Amino acid sequence: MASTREIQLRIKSVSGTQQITKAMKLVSTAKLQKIRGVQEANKPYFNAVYDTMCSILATSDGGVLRSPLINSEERAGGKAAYLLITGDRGLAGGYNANICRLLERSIPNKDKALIVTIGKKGRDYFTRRGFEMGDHFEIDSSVPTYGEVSRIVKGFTDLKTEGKVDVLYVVYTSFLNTISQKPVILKLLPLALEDLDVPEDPAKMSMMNYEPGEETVLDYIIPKYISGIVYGALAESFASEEGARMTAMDSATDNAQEIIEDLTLKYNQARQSHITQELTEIVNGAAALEN
Amino acid sequence: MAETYELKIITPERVMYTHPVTRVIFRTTEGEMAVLKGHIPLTAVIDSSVFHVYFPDESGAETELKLAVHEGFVEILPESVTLLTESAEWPEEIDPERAERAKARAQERLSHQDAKVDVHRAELALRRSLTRLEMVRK
Repeated sequence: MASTREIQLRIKSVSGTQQITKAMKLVSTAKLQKIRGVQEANKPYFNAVYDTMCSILATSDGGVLRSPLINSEERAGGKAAYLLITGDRGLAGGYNANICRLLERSIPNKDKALIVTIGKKGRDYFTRRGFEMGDHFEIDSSVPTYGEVSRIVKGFTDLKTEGKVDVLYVVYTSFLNTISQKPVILKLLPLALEDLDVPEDPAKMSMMNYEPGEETVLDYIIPKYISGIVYGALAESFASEEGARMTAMDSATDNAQEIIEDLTLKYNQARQSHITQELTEIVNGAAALEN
Repeated sequence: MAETYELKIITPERVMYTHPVTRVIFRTTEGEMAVLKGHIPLTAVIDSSVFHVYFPDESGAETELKLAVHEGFVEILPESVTLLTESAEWPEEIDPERAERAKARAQERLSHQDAKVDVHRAELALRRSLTRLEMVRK
């Protein structure tokens, strides 16, 4: 059995680790709350943009469908770009690994995929596996700002308008609750009209006029809509990352507690046997003297 | 007194304003425009400009509010107007010195054009700073 001193040292080091994991959990909880607030604040804007876009699509004839953002004609041989959102740091349970694995498995042909990344972990994963990598974006703050997202989206949708790829996807982690998050691949462009909730009654909507014109307004709104989706995806991913980290750190703290209890038991046993041994020695010594 | 309708100003980060108003004046890409109650339904892309809001205060007199709006669009319905913009500022949120510096920087970029300068971006920056200055000066 290890000496009492060794066991004491281990207890000390484990409880040091436990303090760190506890602190990390608290930090994640705070960040999670912040990001949830941002998500709530963004909802009215996104819903309004979405409604406007749907009503334009409902009223307009085929003309607007020529826009390169909606057009589904294949110019780049079916090549697809993926905007992968991961974290910059680990210690978040399976958060980074799950999403990377999902994406890798769902890419049928390595040559027809271009990976654009937000977050270091995703970039490292796919670079190591020899995928073709596009731009890389980093978001320093714990909450994404709309300006940053617009810039990222501009670069990403340009891939489609310039004809370098045909399909754009965003790969993110959907936040269900703090203990469960689900990696998702969502198609961004071309817009699938059947997926949109276009209003049923076009007669009511056709009252709307557009200035300067339907196509111009739509060309203006679609990027806003895409930005909105990406912003939402980013916020969900951030929330998921913090949620995953919270859960991971919580169980790490519990594990540390278990180890500490185990070690304390061992320490007490060692201490007791040490005392017993000493006592035996003393008693034996005294007995020897008496004789 | 003119009849009022509901005005909503929404940005991605917050809902900036919801209040009954009598009149709004703003600049679209096609020109200036004022909206009263009962306007025909219209969606218009707006230019970076000062957005004027007129609403009745408690005594019923018309009060003016101004805000700088950079890019966005308005959705006008007979009973309500919604302004959706990526960035809008109240006058007290604007730093005139910073706007002045931004203006000088943008002008500098535009006058020494070379391949490295993103002309479109510089023009946008110039327009934004001009809008800000227009608002704080008035």
